[in-house]
Amino acid sequence: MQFLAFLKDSLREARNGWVLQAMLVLSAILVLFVGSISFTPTTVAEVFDTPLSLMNWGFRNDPNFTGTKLSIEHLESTNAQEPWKADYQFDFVISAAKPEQIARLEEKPAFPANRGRVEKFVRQAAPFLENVKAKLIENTPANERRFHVTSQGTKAADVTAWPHVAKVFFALEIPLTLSLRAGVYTIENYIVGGAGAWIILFISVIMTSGFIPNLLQKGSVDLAISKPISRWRLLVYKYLGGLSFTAILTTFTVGGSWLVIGLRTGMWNNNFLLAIPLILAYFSILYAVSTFVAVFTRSAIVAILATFLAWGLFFAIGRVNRDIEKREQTVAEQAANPTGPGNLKQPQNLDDLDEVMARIDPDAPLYRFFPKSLFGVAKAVHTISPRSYQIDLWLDRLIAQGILTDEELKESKSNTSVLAGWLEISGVTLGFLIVILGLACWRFETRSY
Amino acid sequence: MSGQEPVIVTEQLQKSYGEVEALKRVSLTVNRGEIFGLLGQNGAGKSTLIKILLGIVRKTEGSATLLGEPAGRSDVRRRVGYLPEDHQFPQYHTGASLLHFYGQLYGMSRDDRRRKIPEVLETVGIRKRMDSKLRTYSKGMKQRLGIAQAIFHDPDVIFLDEPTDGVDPVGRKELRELFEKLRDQGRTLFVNSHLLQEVELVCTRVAILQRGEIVRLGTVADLTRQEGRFVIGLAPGQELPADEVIRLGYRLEKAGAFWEVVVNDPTDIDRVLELVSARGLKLRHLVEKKQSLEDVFVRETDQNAPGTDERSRKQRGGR
Ligand SMILES: Nc1ncnc2c1ncn2[C@@H]1O[C@H](COP(=O)(O)OP(=O)(O)OP(=O)(O)O)[C@@H](O)[C@H]1O
Ligand SMILES: [Mg+2]
Repeated sequence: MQFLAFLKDSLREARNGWVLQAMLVLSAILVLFVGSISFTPTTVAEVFDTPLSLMNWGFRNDPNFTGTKLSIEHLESTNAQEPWKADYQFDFVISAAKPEQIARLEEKPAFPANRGRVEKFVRQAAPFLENVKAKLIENTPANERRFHVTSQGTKAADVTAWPHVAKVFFALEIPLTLSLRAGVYTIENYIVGGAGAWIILFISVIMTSGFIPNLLQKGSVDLAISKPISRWRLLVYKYLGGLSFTAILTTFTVGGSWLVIGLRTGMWNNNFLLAIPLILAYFSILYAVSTFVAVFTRSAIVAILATFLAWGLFFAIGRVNRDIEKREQTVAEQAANPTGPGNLKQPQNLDDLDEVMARIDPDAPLYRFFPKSLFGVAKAVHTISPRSYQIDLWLDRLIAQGILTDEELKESKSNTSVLAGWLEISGVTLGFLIVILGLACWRFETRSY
Repeated sequence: MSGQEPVIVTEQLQKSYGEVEALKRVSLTVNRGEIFGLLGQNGAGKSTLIKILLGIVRKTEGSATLLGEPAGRSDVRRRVGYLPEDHQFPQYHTGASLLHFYGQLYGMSRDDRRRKIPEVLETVGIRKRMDSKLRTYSKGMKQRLGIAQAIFHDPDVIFLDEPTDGVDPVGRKELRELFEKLRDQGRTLFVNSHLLQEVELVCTRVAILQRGEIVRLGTVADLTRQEGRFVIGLAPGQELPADEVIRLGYRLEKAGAFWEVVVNDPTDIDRVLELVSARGLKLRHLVEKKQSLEDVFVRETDQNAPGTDERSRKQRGGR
């Protein structure tokens, strides 16, 4: 009863000054944006459009090849409705103004002017086609080279693996061909789970920062305390009131996106809905810091600044810890197989670079400046820090698991991190919340107003 | 004062804010059905005392109980109403929604709230504005709402810190009547005020707090009586024989058509009256002179309270 009264009061406070409404409109815009993204399956003809027109553009600008043109002709598919189930055949045609031009093209080592190179070209341009075969058609005019290309089956098991063209704002085409799955994953993980979550958290921190300083203001704290409710309950209810603000925002944004993505693509990634509790868990850490600082300083500004500081700090602690663990893994692998070359690979990013560095010199500093002697300290600090970074990693991982295939998962970066178990994450985080809110309650309890 | 049931009891209550000793060994008992007035200069510690009883301020030493429970217990506050000084209601509420919120905290049922809230707002005279946002309320309206929220849940004890602050004269009179009605219902009122005439009008007992100490405590009548000072009026044209009165050992002052006689003991006035009748003079007027509460207050609070500037008696034009 009292709790519900406070919840209602907090929402009234959030609704006041149109903060909540403005936020919901913002999140509606995000949902609309997500809903404006459409995917249409590509056809094989479209797939060749870009590379062919690029090459033809090159010919037009080269005096040696004036009048030369590449084209796809007589394209046939056995299943126009479901292109991912079809076998394809078409002619790959090089037509030139003069026969010498064709001869010159044959001399270029990479140009698809013979059977083998045409097959290679088709496999690159349309990697989803299976059993691609090309055959030179004889008896064509001297200024024309014609190959008959066939494919049997596709790599795409269903429509979600088939490449799609994406359009945003209902019309704008994105020059990027992704499978439907990859497209939806990108939206869910990067647009909503990444940028969207970040915006929600950022704004929630600011919007809720005033709740507790307002309560503790002279003249209003007396009124609150004089009611038949203990001080710690008052504070905890206010804290939960702040969380409810974010809960509404998150549910609206994530739930709304989930709905429009499902309606548009038919892909209902239920794991994506886990973003609601995870973002809320993340916020519960931030808001505990905000509450703690607010009780001590009674200032919203200080609470906001301190919360952002803690946010960055917890991120850095989590990140450093993850990289240390990765390093230790690499070193352990190395030790287990000292003679083998390890899988020294071409570094693609900083993570890879550290792995390579670690194999060469296990004592190398992390990020080139974080010395190994501090690893122990960093891990100790991490032990008692709330697991916001891990919650974030888990969010990526869960969204990916809900949508990508095992193979795609292995390729995607979200699978390479060392993830802590749920027990550890919830245990340590809960412990942190209890300690910090406990301190805030203690301060509130003993203070005279 | 019979059948007393103590509702508020403090014993040797102390509170210091760092260097400032806001309360020094305050012992006080307020009984059920009293309207108790606490007077004192700015910074004397009046608000501090109330806040300790409500658990808003933590005491340093001594004991304080409210309705038989140690001060600060949250459940006892269900039976307590409080109007703070300088209250700041959440601006996002309307008058009615604020009372609904508070009513829920007091555990009042929805029906109860629906019935009581318009009623109490009617009583304090702001019912017509109950659905307006509080930011549109005037100062006096906020004060009336503050009183409404202090009484609408039928509390046994009501603390009012400067209750008539900002309220117009008509409203004040209505509030006085309201306080008397509440007292008649058996509720206990504890009022902090600077408006001495008002306190004089409604309070059954009064304490004067000075620099955190109680310097006077009693009924209004007790406090305002000036022992042994009488005003005597005789029939027109007659003169009181001054030298004879002085010879009896009393002081005498002529004040207009009247004489003020200061005797050692109130019963000594009989000897003056005997003298009057022995001289064949006709008595027309005799009262024991009282002082106003303000007189008492100003005399008692000669020294200044902690936190306010030092002023001498002369500067104040004191008596
Ligand atoms: N929160 C606080 N921190 C420090 N000192 C305080 C605090 N509250 C009150 N005081 C001091 O305690 C003393 C008593 O204050 P209190 O508010 O009880 O006075 P008061 O009698 O209610 O005065 P007024 O008539 O002005 O309302 C003052 O000297 C005041 O400065
Ligand atoms: Mg005061």
